[in-house]
Amino acid sequence: MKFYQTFLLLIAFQFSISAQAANIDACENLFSASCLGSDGKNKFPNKFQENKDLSVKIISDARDKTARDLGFKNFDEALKTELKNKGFEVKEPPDEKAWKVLKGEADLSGGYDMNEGKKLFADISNCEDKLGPIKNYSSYGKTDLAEVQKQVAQAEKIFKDLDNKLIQIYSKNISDFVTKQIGDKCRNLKSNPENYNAYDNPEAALKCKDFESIRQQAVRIFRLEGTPEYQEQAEKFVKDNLLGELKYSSYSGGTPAQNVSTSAGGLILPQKSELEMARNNYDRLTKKSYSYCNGFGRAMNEAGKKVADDFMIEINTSKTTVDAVLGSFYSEENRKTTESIVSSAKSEIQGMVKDFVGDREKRNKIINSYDSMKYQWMDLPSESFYKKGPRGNLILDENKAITSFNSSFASDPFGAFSDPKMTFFTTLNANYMPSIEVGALSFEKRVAIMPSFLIGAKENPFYLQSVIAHEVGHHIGPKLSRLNGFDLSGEYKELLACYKGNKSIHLQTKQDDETIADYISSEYLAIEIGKLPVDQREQALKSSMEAFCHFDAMGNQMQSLNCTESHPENSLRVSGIYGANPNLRKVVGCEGDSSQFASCGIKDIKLPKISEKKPSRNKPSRGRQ
Amino acid sequence: MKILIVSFLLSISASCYGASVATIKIKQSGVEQVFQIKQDKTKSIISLKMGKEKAKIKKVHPNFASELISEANQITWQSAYRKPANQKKCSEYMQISFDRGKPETICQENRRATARAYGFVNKLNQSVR
Repeated sequence: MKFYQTFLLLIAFQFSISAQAANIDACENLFSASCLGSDGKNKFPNKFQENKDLSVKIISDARDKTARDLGFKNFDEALKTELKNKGFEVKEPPDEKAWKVLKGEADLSGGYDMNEGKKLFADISNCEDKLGPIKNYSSYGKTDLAEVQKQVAQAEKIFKDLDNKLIQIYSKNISDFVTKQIGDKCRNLKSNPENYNAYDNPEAALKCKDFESIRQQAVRIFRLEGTPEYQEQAEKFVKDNLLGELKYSSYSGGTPAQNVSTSAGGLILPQKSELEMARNNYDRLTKKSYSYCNGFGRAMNEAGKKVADDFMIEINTSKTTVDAVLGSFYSEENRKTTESIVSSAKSEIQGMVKDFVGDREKRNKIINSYDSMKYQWMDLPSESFYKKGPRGNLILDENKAITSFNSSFASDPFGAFSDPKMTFFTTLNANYMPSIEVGALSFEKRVAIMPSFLIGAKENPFYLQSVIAHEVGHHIGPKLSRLNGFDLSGEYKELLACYKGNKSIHLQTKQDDETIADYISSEYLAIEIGKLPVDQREQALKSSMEAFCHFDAMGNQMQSLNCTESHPENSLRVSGIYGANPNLRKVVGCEGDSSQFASCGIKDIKLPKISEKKPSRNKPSRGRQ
Repeated sequence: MKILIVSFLLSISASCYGASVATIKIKQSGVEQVFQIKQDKTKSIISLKMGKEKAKIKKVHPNFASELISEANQITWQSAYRKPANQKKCSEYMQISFDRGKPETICQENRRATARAYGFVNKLNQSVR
């Protein structure tokens, strides 16, 4: 069954994207006409990234502003200074991509760079250089005791310096130190019981037996972070518990103390010569030098990122950043544009409900519930939401944060700005949330347009119409209407059957709600576009579809056929739902069905009287379904 | 009260004990998403299972898996040991568990931990894509 569905979907998909020749007729293939150029490629290949870059620039400019308030040239300088003060010298110039990833200004496209740490932090790349002399010298066959001892002393000095640095690094990331540095070693000891109480591991064995108490000490210090006493206590704790010198994999060396022991049988073992012991010691240090920098680099990279993240949270939540970011995304102009679309969508959908919902009680319930639907807007927090930060500037106060029953933080500036990378502001999306009651708290139904979408409004307000109407339309979707107390699944039965048909989009299970939201949105567009002069309608419709082209450019949905997504493929959404809506086809002058998709609509939903009509130019009708 | 706190701390300890597998569960748009990060010396992977669908699996560099596990660990500590003074209850946002340990719930009321978890899920989504 699944294969059959996939096969049908594939056919529909191929039909939809195959007509890529120049001058594609919007009546025939709305997706290609809206999204593809004459070469058959996406007209907006970089639009998604450009939109994201714009959002990142707003964030970056805002952080620069805050950094200047704090006496730095810009945010980059402030972050480098903070890292340096905490023991993490950034290479100059830092690798551009690694630096941007650290700041959250670039994602991991192209994959994780295993050398990222080396490219960012000078001490990581210097680690191998420092250990070079140890690796270059071999004590094998050496007979000069003084020379070998000198080499041992030099190697130990190098390791001591690096260990001191390591202590400083781990003290900035206590949770990682306990979990990875001690926890991992203890886990390895536990999984190799023969080593747990091994002769050469007495200290590790002891530490691991006492792991829980060590961890609780760490928790106590972790809670002090940000206070003056933290650093000293953290460094002492790490120094006392650093297991860098301990071996859970046995080595064939030994310290002088170990070499004056007796065997289990009580026989006196011959004491190793001083030269042999020195050579064994050197071998041990050489072995250590081969893996040391991996652990050192990992610890430094992860602690450096934590220091950067903590600093970014401080800068992000400062009043200057908050004001600048919200001023750009949630501007008065954007509010007016989007609020008027939300209001118009609500009103027109209420009108549609009058057309197609026969039950008066149900109809009135829906109409009334739309009146109370909120449009989520992030306002500037008042002064009372701030407190004085450690640098004397105002920062958002965690204790004033608003709990929102939604992962997107649309109503909670503290949450939105406390993510170091400020992901909320760079995510291109929109959402609808029904009324929810959680314990004593209740959350109103609402629609939200995420900030990154808002900045595209200036360039092309048409595409906001389709997105907003889709979200507002969710309120009366098949499943959501049931949840909202006015089950409309019966009203959509015929329409959904049409979308499931071979001549339509082969609607998959679990796509009902998204498909109906698109359909409601297409009905809204039919009304709005119908208000425009005839010669502007087709272009307006194509512009309304632009958001789908952006997602295509992201390569997220289009490049792989997926029967399990809650949204149908973009090409099917555009050509098979919007492009196949009889009312929308009528207002742009399309006659009959396209050759690829049968028209699907609720026949009771009537268009307002259209004063002008586009000339007929399409194939003969196959009739409305 | 003291007993309660102690038992709570102990319940965390097993989960934070040198993890090489981190499991992150989050419900988004009504669908449960389960990310798993597995790290060992020979093979490190990130997987994402959405609802009852087959898991998407991506092989990653062990250092990257280690970095993600470390970030999950930081969020867990933030959630468990630095609760805001006004946090009275817990509405689940995410669950994080290490190896086969007891899961730690990241509460929506802890907005700082939730914010970091939100960015973290985004990173996981990017990584498994």
